[in-house]
This record gives sequence, structure tokens and C-alpha cells, in this order.
Amino acid sequence: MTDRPPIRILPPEVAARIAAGEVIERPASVVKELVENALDAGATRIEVEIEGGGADRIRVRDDGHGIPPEQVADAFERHATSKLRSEHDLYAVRTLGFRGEALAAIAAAADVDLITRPAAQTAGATLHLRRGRTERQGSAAAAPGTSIEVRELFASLPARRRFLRATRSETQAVARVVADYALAYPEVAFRLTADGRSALASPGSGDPREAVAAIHGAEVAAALLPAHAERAAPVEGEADIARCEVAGLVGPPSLHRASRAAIHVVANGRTVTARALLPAVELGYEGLLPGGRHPVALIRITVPPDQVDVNVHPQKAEVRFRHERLVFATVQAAVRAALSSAAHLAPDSPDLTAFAPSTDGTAYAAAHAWPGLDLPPETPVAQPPFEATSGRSVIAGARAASRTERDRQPPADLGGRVPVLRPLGQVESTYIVAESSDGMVLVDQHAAHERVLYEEVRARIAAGERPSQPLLHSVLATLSAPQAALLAGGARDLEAVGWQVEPADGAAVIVRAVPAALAGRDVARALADYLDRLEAEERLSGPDRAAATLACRAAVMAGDRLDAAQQRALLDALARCDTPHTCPHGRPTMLHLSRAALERSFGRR
Amino acid sequence: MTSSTTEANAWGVVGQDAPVEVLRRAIAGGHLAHAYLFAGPPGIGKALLARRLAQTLVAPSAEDPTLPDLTSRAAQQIEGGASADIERIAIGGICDEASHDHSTDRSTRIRICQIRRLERVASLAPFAVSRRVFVIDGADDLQPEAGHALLKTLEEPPGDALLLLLAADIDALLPTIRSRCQEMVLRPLSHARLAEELRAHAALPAGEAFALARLAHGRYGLAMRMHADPSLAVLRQSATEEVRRLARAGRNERFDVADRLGSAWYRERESVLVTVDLWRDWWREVLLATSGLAALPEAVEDAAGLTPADAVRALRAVQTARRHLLGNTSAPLALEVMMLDLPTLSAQRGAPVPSTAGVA
Amino acid sequence: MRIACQQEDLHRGLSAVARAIPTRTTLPITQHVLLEAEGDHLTLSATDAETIAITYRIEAKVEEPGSITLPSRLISDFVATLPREEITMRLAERSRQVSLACVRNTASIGGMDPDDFPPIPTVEGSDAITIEAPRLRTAIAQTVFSAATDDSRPVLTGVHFHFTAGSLRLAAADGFRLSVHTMPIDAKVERAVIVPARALSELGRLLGEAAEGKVAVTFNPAGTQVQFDVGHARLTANLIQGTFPNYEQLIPAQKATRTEVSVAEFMRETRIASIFARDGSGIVRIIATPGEGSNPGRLVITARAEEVGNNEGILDAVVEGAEAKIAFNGRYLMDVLNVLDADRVAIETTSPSSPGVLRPVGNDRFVHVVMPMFVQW
Repeated sequence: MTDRPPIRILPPEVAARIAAGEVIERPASVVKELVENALDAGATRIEVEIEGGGADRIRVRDDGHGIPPEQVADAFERHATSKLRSEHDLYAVRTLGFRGEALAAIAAAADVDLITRPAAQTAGATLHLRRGRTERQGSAAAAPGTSIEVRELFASLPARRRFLRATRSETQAVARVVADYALAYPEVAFRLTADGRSALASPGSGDPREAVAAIHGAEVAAALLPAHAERAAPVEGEADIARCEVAGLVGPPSLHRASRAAIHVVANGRTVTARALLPAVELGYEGLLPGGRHPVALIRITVPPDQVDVNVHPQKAEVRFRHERLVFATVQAAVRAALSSAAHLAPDSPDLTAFAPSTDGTAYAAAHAWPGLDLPPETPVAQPPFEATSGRSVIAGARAASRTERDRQPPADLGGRVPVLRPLGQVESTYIVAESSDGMVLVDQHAAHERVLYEEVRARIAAGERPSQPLLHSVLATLSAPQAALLAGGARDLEAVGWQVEPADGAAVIVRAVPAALAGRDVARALADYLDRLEAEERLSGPDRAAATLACRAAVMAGDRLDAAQQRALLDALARCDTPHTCPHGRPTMLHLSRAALERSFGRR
Repeated sequence: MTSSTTEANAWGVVGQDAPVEVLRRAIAGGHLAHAYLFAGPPGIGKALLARRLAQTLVAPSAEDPTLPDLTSRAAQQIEGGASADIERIAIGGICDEASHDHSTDRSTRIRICQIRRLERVASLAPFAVSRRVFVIDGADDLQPEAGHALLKTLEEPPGDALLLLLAADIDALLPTIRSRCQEMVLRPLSHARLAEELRAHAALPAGEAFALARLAHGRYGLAMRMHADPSLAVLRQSATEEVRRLARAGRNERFDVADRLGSAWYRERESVLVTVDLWRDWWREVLLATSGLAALPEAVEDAAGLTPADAVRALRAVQTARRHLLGNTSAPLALEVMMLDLPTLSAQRGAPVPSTAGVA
Repeated sequence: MRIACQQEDLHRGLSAVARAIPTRTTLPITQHVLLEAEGDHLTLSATDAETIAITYRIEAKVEEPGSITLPSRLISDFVATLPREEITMRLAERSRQVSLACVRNTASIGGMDPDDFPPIPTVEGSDAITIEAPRLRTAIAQTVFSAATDDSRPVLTGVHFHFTAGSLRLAAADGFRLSVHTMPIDAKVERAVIVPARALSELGRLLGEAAEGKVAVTFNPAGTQVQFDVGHARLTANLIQGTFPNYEQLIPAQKATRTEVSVAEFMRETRIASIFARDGSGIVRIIATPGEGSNPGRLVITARAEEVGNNEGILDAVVEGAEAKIAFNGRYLMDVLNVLDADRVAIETTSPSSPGVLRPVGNDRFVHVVMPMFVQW
């Protein structure tokens, strides 16, 4: 810490190389600069307080190493930075706020009070600036670290101030910034207080999962799967070796969101909106998420400092990797590996599709995507309250009251039951199109039937029943070795769902009874198919595994034509389910196109 | 198709005299087996042999019941693949599952549902002729479960059903399948003999016939296909140029090619396989040349700096890559590994090769 | 080929033969109907070249004999839209285009070479067995539903026909149930064959048309095909090769309880119970209690469903023997009750886990054996 370079004025040629542009755009940008400075100062606790969305007041306090008294005045000079010494250093950025504009720009746009005290000093230095000019300088008693208070942002720039959005939206933007840093720096304790209310508090324990819990809630955090991958490759024409390490936490496929806001990418400790990397994350989920939905993920990328260029965007949010393909591949591999080893998804994890992060200020970028059923009206901010218009449909009218009721429920309760849906027809002999109280719903017939049967079979097992259809004459079935092993290993669970199978010679078994739901099928084949499916059902265990397998084998298949009565019966049964939104494997059973989404799509509003 | 019946052999399956005679004798003696396995590389005559056998059974000639009457309607329907009693089971074929469409679902194997259909149809009496014939074209492409499902039908075929299994790679078959079939290995002709046949049947000049015989590895069907389809010759030409260039190329160029082919694999499996096969053919030529045997002139050039061991290593690398590709390993990875194992020729040696590396 | 026929006849014929057309096939021509004009009639034929062929003969004024195949779907759809008038058809031999005209409607449909059509096997023989059509229809209805739809043992996807001196016995079983129907016939033949259930379902449809009449049954000399001639229609089916399991031993010889109820009432209560048991397992529980003194015997039918509630139906019954408890798959019960040709049915049971037997009361032609379900009481 003693050999830290002191704050210096950047040589003009270096300053010129730095991309120009607006640094301070909105309160969130101020918070970002100040938080980065605090992190550079080695802080372990960072407290952010804002009032009026940050436009009225922002205060960032840290317990870092502070600024020595003789350098306090220099701190607000343009292109003053203690972090870059030469052009070469630009390419080896190890610290965060390397550009000197930060404090100067803030000082130019607001009133600033600085109190700082290096731990070695006995007293702290104070500085008060007004519209970029030093008004007062002095010393005062202070805790070690730095506290910067920014008031009346853009007071001198009324045009800019007008552009600020509603307090709530600015608060959310600040929250998003703090959340990003809390995720990037799990070892630092962050606290955000907005208008006197605590909005976020991360423990600073060093465990990324705890940081996620502070932001997305404990439930989401617990569901995340650890992801890791490391790659290296020789670079053509260079002695260098391209390296990349990815560590992180990724959500199981059952956890998805309407926007990409819950994909957090951290590169060398810098939180970035790595647009180029988002596809890598999502490719890892290829085929696992419903269309238009996005995963929850925290991706931490580490590459040698000279293999990343953070100087692409004035706000430093975009990075450019020298070996982007390698990074891309590593990210994808990490995600894939995590998902393929995932085995601990709770079978009845509440439907999280509807869980909207409180820090998400992006107003649901994917407003035109089909959200999961029961997603509340697109943004919690600006939507007018729902109005039930009569005459749209009988069901809609009849259920308008209950719908508004549902809308008011907190997101966590949205995994509940679905109303009875009115079937309109079948698409591709695979999906049932149905009218709901709010727009239309597409139901995956296989997934839905699986859910229905799964709950029925489990209820029967719980009740000690064993709906089994004995055979008129027993049937000899020949099994493969893995099938026989599964049968031997899970005999009790298989009996619980209705199988009655006895070993015969070698690979042959005698089937005496089949689960009632499989009655009527070819017995030997049904047993072999059942065991093959059981093998694939790795996520569950015990009777639940046997039940899920039975549900899968007995359910209608994609491609089966269903008549109107069958469609209705299936939807009715689904409405009676406890967890109707997902099949036993966690895949969604339905997609919802709300009336609001329909109206938007057709330009009706 | 009729002109060849006398000189080549009775069924016109050029080069496969022995299997033809065995089958004719079995028909004459009434001891035809219920299942045959015709083994041999692509273009050797497996499908033609199966077709002629079926035609002989369905439409025997009036004079000799061991010969097909190829002028009959029934024989011609079989020739055109439009016969009701002969069913061909191959990748992408039909099955009884209403929701399956293997012609569009990118099946890479013969699926169990197709074998179940076979089982069902086989249990029915033939419709118009005396026996139902099933040709499993690509028995080495049977899904393992499909192979198991086939065992039962092979063991006790219902009625008079005749099963003909065609396979290029008999090692890929379950031993239990092989043991239930009468196996017939179709072998390539000597290059000289094939060249002769080509001159007789395709009226090719001697030099061209010999080159074609060589390229076709002594397989009559393949030679005729190459003769009829000039695009195959072009593909062969470019693949050969590429393999020669690769032998002189650095790691980066090799990896680029591996990458390109590897990503093409998922879209155009067939053409990638053909390319890899052509590379294998090339290294086989080089191996011949390193051992001092007759080979294509370019192969002799390339062999100059190589030992037979080098060529064997290259050949093995290509073979391994091919196996990995078919075994669903990551295609780029399989090809990259192969690239690492190919010997490196210095760019200066040998004749200039067209395109990049050819700086003599 | 140049002919004229009535729209009604052609429409009926095309609908009848279209049933033979396969949903998927390796042979595109099987999607066609073969039309052959000769003498004073037009013969329509279709086949899946696998299991069945159906031909249908209609009256026609044949000005010029000839034959052609036409895509079944196309010509059926077109003819269905025509008025009930005379249709004329003319084939342009070289282009294989058929011009159809009916009043003011005309169409031209392209066909294929009739010689490429799979040969429709026909069996000519004097040794045809003659059966009353309604009898055969009942026998088919009472057995075909018990045949397996899945087919790891192809013989079970067929119905076993056993001709003996003076009688014909049809049997079908799918591992869970067995149906046996016996009827008297005039012929004295010894023969056992397995007819694909699919062919019999189609035959049942054709028989539905011939309410009275007779069916002539003929086998080809090789014993691989059977032909049913019904009025204008002829259905030829490929027999399933193999040995049908010995089913006689599956019919219980003894019973502990015999319960006789009205078919209509039993059906109604079972249907209600099935609705309540609509959960894949479809369990319908039956308790038969013998009458005591002045109390008549009764049959209680119940079903449970977690969400919907329970249902209980009570029927008057004549119960002989001990009280009996047994549970069946509701669908299996409905299947058999639907095809009973009597007003009352007798249910014979031995224990909750032994097969139950259902027989129509008043005739001994039909017996159905069904395996009960394992339930907790």
C-alpha cells in the first residue's frame, strides 16, 4: 500500500487516447465512479446513500486508504489519476477508475463535500467544492477512509436535470449499479440506502452466492449451480498464451426471466455489459429455456490484464477481449458443464418465471416476448391499473375481479394455481391453444399431462394406494443389463407405482402387473421403455423418480391428436394441480400471451 | 442391365461371382437361409446383389429358376424400388409411430420404431408374391436398441420372410446379429480386372479405365457411379489437393480446416464423411507408394520423404477421426486431433501443389 | 376408358375402398384408387399393400373398357362435392388424364399406370364358407376391442378364427382381457387363422352396410390370405403368421359369486363412476351383496377421486354365492358392456385378485374375461 502511485496529472498524449464522452449521465454514473474509487482505495465496506433518486443527494462512504492531505486538491483536477502512468499502462488496467475525469466531472456538475483520512494520519482532510471550484479546504476529525457527498446534481445544468427520470427509475438505476458491484466484489460489504430506507445489503463474506441472495433473494441464490471452466490456447505469431478462466453461478433452466437483466458479467472484477458474451451464456442454455426467456447468471471472467481492453466505452461498461473467441468458448463451456452436472433441482421449486428483480430498472426490455403465465403487468412502474373491460369474452368478464386480485399478489405467490382455461384447439398436435382470463395461453400437452399424472401418482403413493393392473397371463420380458440393474435397484419404488416384476432366468423377468396408467400397452415394451426413461430421470430419487417416470410414460405425447373433450379434461385437471406451471422436470407447461401483450403487438396501445 | 448377365456373372453383379453362385445354388437346392448379411465397402454391389436375389425369388426366368426374368413387370418394379413385397429399411425411413417423421428429424441411425414396423409387417403374409423381402440398408447404422429388437425377428422370422442386411462395417454390428445371419463378404476386384470390366461395360479407354479402377478401389459400383457423376471426380480432386496441402501446412492452417469441416459436420454429414474417406484413400495410396508398390503418381511424389510407418500413422489418424465422428465426439475436436497426428511434409519437397502451400 | 355412373354409387364406393389406404407407406401408388371398367360395372380397389385390400363394384355404363389409378383423396373429395347426378369419366390413355363431368362440374385428374398398382389378390374357389352378416358383425364387435394395439407379439394384434364342424369361434386377448365368441355355421371345415384386427374393424364397417345378407369367406390355397365378400364389397386380408396362445385355460372354471344386473343400469353407473375415476387409473370398485330375506341383492359401484369427490351407485342385482368385492379398470368394463347383445349381464367372480367373467344372460355365445385391478379396500 505504501508504494501506491500518488495521484498524477496524465500526460496529454495519454489523456487523448482515452475515449472522450460524457462521464456523468445520471446519478447512477456518479455512484458508479465513486464506488469504483472506493474499491480502488481498498475498501471492505462501502455505504451508498441517496435521496431523490440521487439527484438531491448522493453519499458514498468507504473504509479505504483515503487520500493524503497534500493530494486532496489535485483529486478533482481533470485527468488526475493515481492509476495510469504511461500509455503502456492503458493496456494493463488492473484498477478500476483509471480515468481522471471522474471526480472532476462530478465536481463540475454538482456541489461536492469530501472528507478523507488515510489510516496513518491523525486528522482527516476536508474539501468543499461548488460548481467545480474549491470553496473551502481544511481538516476535521474523521473515521479512516473517504466520504464523498454529492448534492444537487446538475443544479447548474437545468437542461440535464430535466432529462432525469422519475425518482423511482433513477433509484432503480443506482440500485442496479450497486447490485452489480456487490456481485463483482462479494468480499466487500455493500449497503444502499434510498431515501432513508435500506434497499440492499450484501454481507461482504466473499461468497458470491450470498451476494446473489442479497440481490435476487435467498431462493434464487440457493437454486444457482456453480460453474467453472478454464481454457488456454497459443496465439498465432505471439509468444503469449491466451488464457481465460470463468467462475460463476448459473441458474437452473427452470429459473428464467423476461429480460437479460439477471445475467451479470464481471470481467477481471469489472462489472460489464458484455453484449458479445450474452449469447455465450445463452448458448449454454440452448434448448433448455422457453423461447424469449433468459437465464439468471453471474459470470466472473478472469483473463490476463493485457488481454482485455476496457477502454471501449466512456462509461467503461463495455470491454473488448483480445481473444474473444476463447472467452466465448470458456463461458459457454462453464455454463454447459454446470447445467449438465445439475442434479439438485427441487421438484417443486416455485415457479420463478414471474419473479421480477427489484433492482431491474430496464423496464422489461423483452416486453414483446411471451412472459410466463401470471407475470404481472409488464413494468411495476408506469402501467395504468388493469381495467376489466366487459364484452371481450365471457371468461374475461367473469373472472375480471379475481384477476385484479391476482395481480396484487406479491410475485413470490405467483407459482400458484391456474384458472380453468378454455381450449380453442390444438397446434401441431402438440400444444393446446386456450383462452385465459387475460389473453391466451399455449399449453404443452405432454408437459401438462405429465404434471397432472405426477401429482396424482404421488398423491396415491402418499395415500398408500398402489393402482396396479395385474395381467391375465404373466409376460416374459428380456431386459438389457442397465435395465435389469435399474429394476433391481429400485424394486420398491417400482412396486409403489404399480409394477409387479419377478426375476426369471438371466436377463429375463416375469411381469405380473403393470401400473394402472400403462394398462393396455404392450407389456414387455412398456417395461423396457419405463426403465430407459427411469435411467434418464436423474434429477429425482426414490418414489418421486418412479412417479415422474410413470407420468412421463403415461402422458399423451407431442403429436397425439386430442379431441375437444380431451383438451378440456386436461386443462381442467391442470387447474387442479398444486404446481401447474412446470412439468416434473421443471420445464414450463404453458406460455402466456397477455391481453396487454396482444394489444401492444397489434399496436392497439 | 441385361447385357452383362452372361459375361460377368449370371446376375450381372460384376465382380461378385462367388456370392452369386452360392445364392443360386441355395435357390436351386431349396436351402436359402432366412437372413443374409452382405458385407463390403460402399459401391461394391451389396444392394445390387440383394435386388437380384429378390428379383430371382419374385420373378424367376422360365428357363432357369435361379435367374431373374428382368423383363418381367415384378422385376422391374423391384428395380425401380416400387414393389409392395420388398421393403427397404434405411436411415430416415418410415415407421408406425404417427408422430415420427424420420425423413425430416435428422435421424442418424436406423431407429427402433422402424424395426418394430418391420416386425409387424414381417408377421403378415406376403401380399402378392411368395415371400416378403426386407433389405436393411446400413445394418451397421442400427441404433443399439433397434439391433436388439431385430434379433427376435432374425431368430424366428415369421413365415417366409427373408431379411437381407447390408453393411459396410460388419464390426459395428452386434455379434448376436452376425451369428444369426449367413455372412457373405463382397470383395473388391483387382484393379486390372476392374479396368477390364470397365472397358467392357462402360466402353472406357484403357488409361481412363485403369485410373478409375484405382480410384474406385476395385469396386465396380463405385467406379460406375464415379464415371456417371463427374461431380464425384471433382470432389475427389479437391479433396486430394486439400489433403496434400494439409500435409505441408502448419498447425494453424490445419486447425482452420478442422474447424471448417467440424462445423460443417452438423449440417452436411455426408459430404464431410466423403471428404474424410477420400483423405483415407489418399493416405492408403501413399502407404502403397512408401512400400514400393504401384500407386498414383502424386502419391509416389508425396511418399518420397515418408516411411511406411508415417503413412500408417496418418492412415490410423484418419480412421480414428472417422470413428470419433460417427461416435458423436465433438467434430472439430476429432478433426483437430487427427490434424496433430498427420505427418508434416516440407513445402519444398515434391511437386507444387495447387493453391496456398505450393511454393516450390 | 369411357364410362358413366351415378355420383351416389361412386361416392359410396370410393368411401368404402379409401379405408384401405395407408397413412404412411413406402409405395406412393398406394395413395391411389384403382379404377377398372369392364362389362356393366366399374371396380374400385385400394390397398395398403401390407394388410388389407378392399374392392367395391358399382354399376356403370361402360362405353369403352379400361383402367387407371387416381389419387384417392383428390377424387373422393371432388366426387363428394358433386350433385347426385350422372358422372361421366373419360381417360386420355397417353397422358393418363381422366376427365370427370357431372352436370356443370368438370375436373381433370392425373393418374398412374394401373400396371404399377400392387396386385390385388383375389381368391376364386367353390369352398366358400357362408356366414350370416349380422352374426359375423356381432362376433367381430365382441372380440376386436380385446385385441392388442401394440405389437411386440404380433399374433395378439389379430383375432383368432377357429372353424370346426358346425361352429366358428373368434377370440382376442391383449394380456389384460380375453373375448371369445362362438357361433354356429353351416360349413364343416377345420381351420384356425389369425386375422389382423385392423382388417376386421374395416370388415365390421362394410358389414354395417349389409344389414341382412351373407358373407362369403374364402381362403387362398397357400393359407396366407382370407377374403370376405359382402354384397358389392370384397375385403382381402393378409393373415398374421404364428401361433395364437391357448386361451381356453384363461377362462376360470369356477366361481364364488354370480351377480346378475341390467346391462343398461350397470353401464350407466359404470360411466358415472368412470368420470369420477378419470385419473389414468380409472378404478371402479364393485361390491355385490346377496339378498337376505325381503332385502333384494344389490351391486354397489364406487369410484374415488381426490379432487372431485366420491361417487356411489347402487343397482338391484340377483347375487348368488358369497359377498364379493372386486375392482376393475372402468374403461375395460365400458368396452365390454358396450358390445353385449343382451339386456342382462352375469358377472362371475372368485376373489378380488382372480379374473372376473362377464357373460350375456340368455345366450352362451359370448364370454369375456377381465383381470381385476389391485386396490386397497
